[in-house]
Amino acid sequence: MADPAPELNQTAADALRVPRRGLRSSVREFFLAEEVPYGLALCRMALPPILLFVVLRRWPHAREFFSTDGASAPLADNYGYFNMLPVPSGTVAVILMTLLVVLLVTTMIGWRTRISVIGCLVIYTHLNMLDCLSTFTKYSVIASHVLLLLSFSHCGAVWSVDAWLARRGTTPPAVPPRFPAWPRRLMQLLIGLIYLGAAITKIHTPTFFSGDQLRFWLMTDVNNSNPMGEQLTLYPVVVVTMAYISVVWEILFVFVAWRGHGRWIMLLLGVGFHMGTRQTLGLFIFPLVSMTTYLAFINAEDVARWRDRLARFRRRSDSKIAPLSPVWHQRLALAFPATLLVAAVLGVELEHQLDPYGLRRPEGAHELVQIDPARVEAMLESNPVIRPEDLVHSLEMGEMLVGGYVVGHKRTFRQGEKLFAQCTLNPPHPDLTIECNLHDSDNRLLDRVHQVVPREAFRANFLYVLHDALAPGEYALVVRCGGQEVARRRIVLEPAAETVPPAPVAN
Amino acid sequence: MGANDVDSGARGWLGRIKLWAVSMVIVSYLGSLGYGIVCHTLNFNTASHPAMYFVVWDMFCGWSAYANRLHIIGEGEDGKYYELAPGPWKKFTPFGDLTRHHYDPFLNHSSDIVRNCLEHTRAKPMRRLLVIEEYWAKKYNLPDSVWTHFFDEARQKHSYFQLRQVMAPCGTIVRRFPSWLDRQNQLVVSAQPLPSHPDSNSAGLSSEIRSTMRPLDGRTSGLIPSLGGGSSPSLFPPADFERAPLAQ
Repeated sequence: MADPAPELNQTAADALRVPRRGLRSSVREFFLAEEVPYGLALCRMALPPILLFVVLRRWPHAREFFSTDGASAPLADNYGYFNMLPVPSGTVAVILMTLLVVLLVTTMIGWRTRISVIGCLVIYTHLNMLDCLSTFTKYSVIASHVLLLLSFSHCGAVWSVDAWLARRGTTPPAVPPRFPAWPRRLMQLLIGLIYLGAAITKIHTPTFFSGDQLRFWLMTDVNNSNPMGEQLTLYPVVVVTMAYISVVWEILFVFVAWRGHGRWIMLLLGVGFHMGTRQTLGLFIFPLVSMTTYLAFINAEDVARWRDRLARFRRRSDSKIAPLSPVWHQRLALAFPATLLVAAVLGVELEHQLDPYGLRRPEGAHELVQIDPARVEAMLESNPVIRPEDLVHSLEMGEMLVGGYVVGHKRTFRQGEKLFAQCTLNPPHPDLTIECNLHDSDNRLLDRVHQVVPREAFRANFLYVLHDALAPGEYALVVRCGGQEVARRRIVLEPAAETVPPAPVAN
Repeated sequence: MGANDVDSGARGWLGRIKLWAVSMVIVSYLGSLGYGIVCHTLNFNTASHPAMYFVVWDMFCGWSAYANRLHIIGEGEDGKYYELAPGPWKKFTPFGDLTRHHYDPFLNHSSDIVRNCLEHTRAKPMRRLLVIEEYWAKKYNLPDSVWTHFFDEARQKHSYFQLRQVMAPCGTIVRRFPSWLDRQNQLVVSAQPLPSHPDSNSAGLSSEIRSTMRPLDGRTSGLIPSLGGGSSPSLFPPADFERAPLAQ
């Protein structure tokens, strides 16, 4: 299961010489083989900018979302655990958010990395759990997991300020330091198990594989805009196909993504999947956080290979690195807490100046916005029964059915062709009788077809063979529900192709 | 025994403790993740503790054919109605263009939002506070380019409103009501007569449809679907092209 990247210490190398290793030594090698933590260093650098985007947007609202001087929304309340976590005062919440911003930056650059990562983990998770409405989501959970695993790791040992300072110490390391691989392994297993859990969710969810659920997801507007998703609702067969591929990929990931071609295939599929959710579901942060964990799949061998390629274009400088004087090391050691202190003070002052509630404005606190009485009257009107037209989601016409959906959408047919009409219903709906009638251009009823649609069905399909008894011209398919017309589609019937011999006028 | 032996012995002892600690961390972490997967798979204890949110991966488990919004309003003693969420200060839209209070489907935090708004504004004395839910079919969210593939008619969006909560002026919840969608789910399984198919021969046929009929219309025609289609989600009837789909 292990990739070839980690370089083993002598003891482990000796163990590897044994021709056949047992399960125990395989597991030990998998978790404890020593390596340069390049993958985790990349995670350490990639995650904080994403979280900074999230945190900085919420920083001006820290008092409102995370403090007793606002309307915090602790996650634990939803589970019945009231007052599980302490809710800070307004000023403390601002200080914590400010410290979180600074610590994310210091994590990114790898300055006092371990302290920074632990600080990020504690503050980020705590504040997130205080606002389950607008801050805490599953991407927050994944980010907390990643921060936890980074706090166990030596992710600041390379590509960091700490590493730069170490090279300028009195005893600079000759080679990059190596550490056991287990934090990286746990991060790999984390994302694999997340995908496995997500696959189980989909398997549990009724109508996922029929595409109905995904189709309604694509129309959801609670996330960012997703115009591609809305267009994709026209191609439900593509949606169903993607649903199957995504579940198979999610299940396979944890088993296949370890080495060889399987690793790249799984990771590239993952990138495609997450970028797809960005375009079709309007998810911005979740894909980025999830893909950050992919960096844990990068090993020292990959880095060496990329370095070799880069070396062709870069001239290597052999200049000797001069050590910093001990005074500077002392100053830098003090600079870290000083930075946190100064940032906290400045943050409190800035938030005071911003006056998020507008209490210190010259005109005083805000007044409430009055609502139009007509609007309120509409809101207070009781309307428990769904209109028949809202029971129908769509009326589609095409030339065949694939996977239960109409494909080959068109509205111009030739005599002798089949017309498949599909009426999709919005759940929940009662047991219904749906009519799909054919009208001529004068709106006279030519043919009536009905079917009973039970409450658990989402689609009613109708087949018309456009017999040559129908004269070429314009017609309309009219869907009626509950005795009321709810949808109408115009169709055009053209003469049969000349190669088709004319059929008898009547049966 | 030399000093070096003592040092190496201590190092070995510390190494073993470190190895045990690392093993414990690995086992605990993977055990937690595994517990979450098992609970989620068996639908067991998934909501027993907030910590379960960290190990249960049930992303996007909710779905609906209807979009919804929450309106939190206050009825002032002056008889006027006021918007209590979002607050009148700078609006924040966390994940799109919706403000924060819309992401509270269970209404567990609406009273805190209301109290915060009343505390930080020059609010008039309130008589009662209301949380009203608005629903509309998601098809009305579709852009015109998609809408025209489904319907010829212009869209006429219609919203359904449902009072969800009534609060006292202090924000204390006085009454709660089920959501409109829950109510609809209850209605569809409650005893409701199936709307009868309007038979051409019956006197109950609407005058609207009768006016569109041709003189000989009245025979059942077309392919009548069979509902005994097994487990297929499609209700498409078995193909039988020998029968004339059109009566005349």
